[in-house]
Amino acid sequence: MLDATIVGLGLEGITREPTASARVLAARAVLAAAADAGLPCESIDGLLVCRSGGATEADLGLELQRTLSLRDLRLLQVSYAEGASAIANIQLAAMAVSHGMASAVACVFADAPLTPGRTGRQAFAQRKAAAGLDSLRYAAGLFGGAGLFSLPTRRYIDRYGASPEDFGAVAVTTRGWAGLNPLATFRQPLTMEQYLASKFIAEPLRLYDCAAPVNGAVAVIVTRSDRAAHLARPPIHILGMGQGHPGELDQAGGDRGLHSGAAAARATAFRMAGVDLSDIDFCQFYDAFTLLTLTALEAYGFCDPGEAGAFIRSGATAPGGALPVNTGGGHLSGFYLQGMTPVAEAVIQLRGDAGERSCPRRDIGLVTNEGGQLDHHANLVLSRQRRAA
Amino acid sequence: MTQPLPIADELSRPFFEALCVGTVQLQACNTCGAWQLGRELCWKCRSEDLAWRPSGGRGRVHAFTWMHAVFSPAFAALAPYAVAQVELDEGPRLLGLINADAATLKLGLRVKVVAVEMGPGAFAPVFEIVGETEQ
Repeated sequence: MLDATIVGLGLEGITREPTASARVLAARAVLAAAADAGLPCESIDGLLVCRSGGATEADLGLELQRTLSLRDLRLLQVSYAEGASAIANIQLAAMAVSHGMASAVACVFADAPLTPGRTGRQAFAQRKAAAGLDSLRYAAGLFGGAGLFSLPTRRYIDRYGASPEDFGAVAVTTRGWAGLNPLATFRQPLTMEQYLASKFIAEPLRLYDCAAPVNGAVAVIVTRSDRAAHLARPPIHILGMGQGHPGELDQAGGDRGLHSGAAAARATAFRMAGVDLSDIDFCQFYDAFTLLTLTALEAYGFCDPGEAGAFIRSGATAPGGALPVNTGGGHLSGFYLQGMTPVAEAVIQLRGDAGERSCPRRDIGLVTNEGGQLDHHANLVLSRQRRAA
Repeated sequence: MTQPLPIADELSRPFFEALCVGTVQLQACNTCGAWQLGRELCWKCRSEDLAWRPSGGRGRVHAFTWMHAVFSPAFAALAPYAVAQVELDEGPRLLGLINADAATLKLGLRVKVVAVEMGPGAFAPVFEIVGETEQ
């Protein structure tokens, strides 16, 4: 049976300015997470690393063990499931500590796309070594995640008749939460008028539909609950977890970009956790683009397909609403540290450290990661309480 | 900044060679007949017995975007420009620039593939609208 808790959280150097390298940021975040847990660094016996798709093994990889002078690890791996990597690592850590393969596992993500003289857009425009059919994307000028995600966003609009205000509601609501989060990158209020007047990046995606790059790192420490009982901070229990990988093809009949693995991952995780939708007090979704908040609400069943825009416009996901979503400002207004952003906010909420943005009910939270063009989904059901046996 | 050019790899070389002479070639499965592009195994029956065959070079707009932001200086003079994902009549989907104006571009439009030389010997598919929404 799964017996795993998050006992330490380290956030390091989240900024729109150039910083130390991703590996140094990752090292600092692991040290911060261990200190937060009240664990000496020497007790870490597992290290699970993930990095941005644009980064390389030289930027951040297995070498992090030596950077941190960690000896005799029992678990060490770099994982890659695109945007789902961070939760995939935490899931592996949870299984490892449950079965005694390791006892204290650090999971870390770091990214440092911003360097002196390189803007965010240049960072995102950077091409991977693309050859073959992949090179057609760049030859056609389809750059960045914004270019890619504008295509399914167009199809969502066409399929459901979604309005610009549906997407604007995501951006405006998320910014409302960010205003309550001292860690958030963009905290000044955003109005629907400002959203609608903002420039197009890849139409229909406007500026505020897209997350902006930051440098930074997040680490968590995972242990079993018996170990957690003796540590500095209240443990956050992993009740359930799942993944879903639809494998949609770029062929006739394929629904890549709109069909998420969320429904499959939900079934696995909710069964494991013994919860249903009504038990979920808040959601922290992977929201690099506004479309992802809409598709997550629908895929999990909080709304019918095509209804998420109206749901958000009703205020349901905003501060004071019935289902708080992305309460730290998400990727859009908080900080874009990929799969770790929603994890960090869930831990902060469940610990009761969220200050004026605290959710009124915060016993059970849903955390999701979404990778690729909705190709890779992973989730966690987190709780302040261990599940009753 | 140079124009990002299409680059053939082993899996796609016949596709790019066909574009150089103005035609479109796709893979057809010798076992089940399914069409595809740039794959090792047939998507439908997983056979490795695949052959390159001519496509009609026509399809419909599956998705499109207007790129406004200039991520690469090579596209600065073009922005905003339209990029389409076209579903060929045989089934595979293909990305390329599309010649269109903002008032008329929509999902479902019929298009044909035109091979355009983006750099010396480097051809990419560009889409021309040939008709109205799906018949």
